[in-house]
Amino acid sequence: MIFFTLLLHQWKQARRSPIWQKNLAVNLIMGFFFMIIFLEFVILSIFLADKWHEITDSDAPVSFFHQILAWYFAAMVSFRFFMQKLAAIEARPYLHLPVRKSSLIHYLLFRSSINFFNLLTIIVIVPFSIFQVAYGRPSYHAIIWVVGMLSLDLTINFIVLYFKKQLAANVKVAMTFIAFIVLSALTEYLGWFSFSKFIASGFDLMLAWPALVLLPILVLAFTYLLNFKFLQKGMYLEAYQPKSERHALTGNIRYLDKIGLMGQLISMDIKLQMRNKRTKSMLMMAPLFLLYGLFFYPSGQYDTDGGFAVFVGVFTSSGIAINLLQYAFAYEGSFFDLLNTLSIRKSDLVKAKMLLGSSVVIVSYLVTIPYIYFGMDVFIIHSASALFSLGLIVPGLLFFATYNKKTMVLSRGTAFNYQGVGAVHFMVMIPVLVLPVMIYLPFKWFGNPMGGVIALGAFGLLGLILRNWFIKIISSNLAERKYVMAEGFRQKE
Amino acid sequence: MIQINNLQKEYAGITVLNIETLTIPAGESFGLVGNNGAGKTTLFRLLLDLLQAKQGSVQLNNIPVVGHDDWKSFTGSFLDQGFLIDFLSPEEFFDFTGKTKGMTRDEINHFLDEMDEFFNGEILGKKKLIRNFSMGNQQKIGIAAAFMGNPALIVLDEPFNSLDPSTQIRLKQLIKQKKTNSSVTFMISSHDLNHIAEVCDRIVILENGSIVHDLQTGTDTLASLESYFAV
Repeated sequence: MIFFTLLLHQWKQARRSPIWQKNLAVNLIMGFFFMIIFLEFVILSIFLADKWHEITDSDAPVSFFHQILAWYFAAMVSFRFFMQKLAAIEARPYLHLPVRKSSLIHYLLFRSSINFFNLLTIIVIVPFSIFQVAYGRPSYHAIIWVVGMLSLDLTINFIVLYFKKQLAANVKVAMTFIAFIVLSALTEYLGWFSFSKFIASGFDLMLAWPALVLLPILVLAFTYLLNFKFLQKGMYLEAYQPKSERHALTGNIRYLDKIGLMGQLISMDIKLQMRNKRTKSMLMMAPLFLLYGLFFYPSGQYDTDGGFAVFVGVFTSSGIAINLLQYAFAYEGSFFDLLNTLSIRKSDLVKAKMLLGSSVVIVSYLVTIPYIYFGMDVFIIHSASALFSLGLIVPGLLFFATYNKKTMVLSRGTAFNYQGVGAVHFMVMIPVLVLPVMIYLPFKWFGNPMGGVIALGAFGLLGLILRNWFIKIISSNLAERKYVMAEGFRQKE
Repeated sequence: MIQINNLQKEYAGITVLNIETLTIPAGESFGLVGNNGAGKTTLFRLLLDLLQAKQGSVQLNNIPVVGHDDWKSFTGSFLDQGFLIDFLSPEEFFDFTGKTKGMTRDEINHFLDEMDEFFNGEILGKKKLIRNFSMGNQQKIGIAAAFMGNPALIVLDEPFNSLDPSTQIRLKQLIKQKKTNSSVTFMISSHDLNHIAEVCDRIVILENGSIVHDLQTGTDTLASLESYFAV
């Protein structure tokens, strides 16, 4: 049974992936949280299904639920368009073996239907069928209803797969569809035409005449066949080569070209950040760091001159730089040997990173100046914290970065990607974020918050004065540790 | 040019390289052959100060590689993928490498013109990042970068791998040409005995980390190499 062998291979691949094995602890914790969230979903769904007729206060609760489902399915189509794709690459190692193509395709299509979205649908549908649909109807009606809804869900699954394979302009199609949804929501809101009632009346019909369930099943079979035929025609090796990206090669920053080697190093670092999937998605999260204060200040529950403001100040000014500097050398792990054999002085390498990190801190600080809206205290504390970040945190992180000997694999996205990240990296965050607060708080407790601000700023200034000394220490550390680092970076995961 | 004394490297208590003495004069093309695990790459890495030796020393032009940076300015090298920055385009990569070797814009352009034949129109102006090139073309980019900045010593680990036949021939021409015109010292390893016998003046066979044969290339070199490796 090739089908089960393939599934087994999949399982082995997941189990034996270095990411899973190396970070077993992290993965177990994440898994635990997912389990809890999953259970909460299930319980919520059961609760809602049980109380639905009371909550909606409608004389046709099921019909009303159908309206909700109409929106749900519409949303599903657009989500799937963005998130889902046929994992056809999984078939690649088997294409040249004497395995029947049709079994491979059946396997792929089956795999595609086991995903988060379909699970979500099951969680939404099944409790409702038990508590509401089966109420006052023969229980086989409820079963038929579930079968119908799941068929519809799978149909959406396969239609999206088909269109994503067929059309190059995915984003355009998805946008058109989203526009359609928004438009229907608008017409419904204005009372011109109710998209959801229209769809819901179709669902209602299925409850009235259960035999109509054959319709969604037939449509499902049709879409499955459509995909099958399409894949059968088009399943060749070259279709699954990783697509070579067309890059609009971002031009060099003119100024950086002029300042010699230092400029070259910095512009290389910028390109590294911009052109790799992992760093790029990290940068997309940057606004979250900058807006961090908005989670706290507006509530008014926190003192604007307390230790908390120092924490926010340090976090907003250095949050992005932390990501950049902590892995400064690990990002370059894949070509560390090159950097070691070219005539680049270690101190130049360190200086370039220091310069980039400092610029990021300065820009972060300037962008977050509007926090002044929450009071002058906040502004003053943030300024002192930014100075502290600039003077001490930037060199401190670079120093720790030389102890990092795991390559960052840059081609994978960030979400739930703990490759190259170890417990040490979380530990580093503690002194970085706690130390400034600990410097500030004693002054505040003794009724002299201004003294705390001055102390923070003074430490930062001291760091700036000692900058060249820091560079010397970090580069000699780098020179000393380069063998260990190079050895670690060569271990490909 | 290269002076190796009593060089030893261990991994987990097992000696993987043990070279008592090896002297390579300037202008010599030195070839290194040996089966997998013989210690070729280890030797290359020690030569370029990418590994820490258990003991012994490597000197390039009388400069010890450990703790010094000066030898880097006259040494060009390409060992493996770790010598490529894959998110740059070839042009950007040559620009970066050239600048670290102190080349000006004009010198870099001149160099790329010289390499035109070697590239065979497959490298420049493609608007592609290095990671999107085929293995062979990536290899070409790395080898070319090792030739930048008129180095006195060029170190290449299995340069003929994954090159197409024409490029293999062009690379051999390039090596010979650099040898005669600028008396560049080469250190090259290969599994292809034909190539190595053709371009090298001297060939050393490495086995289990030790030098077992040290041959000056003559008319019967290929035959003796083949008889050594025959099973």
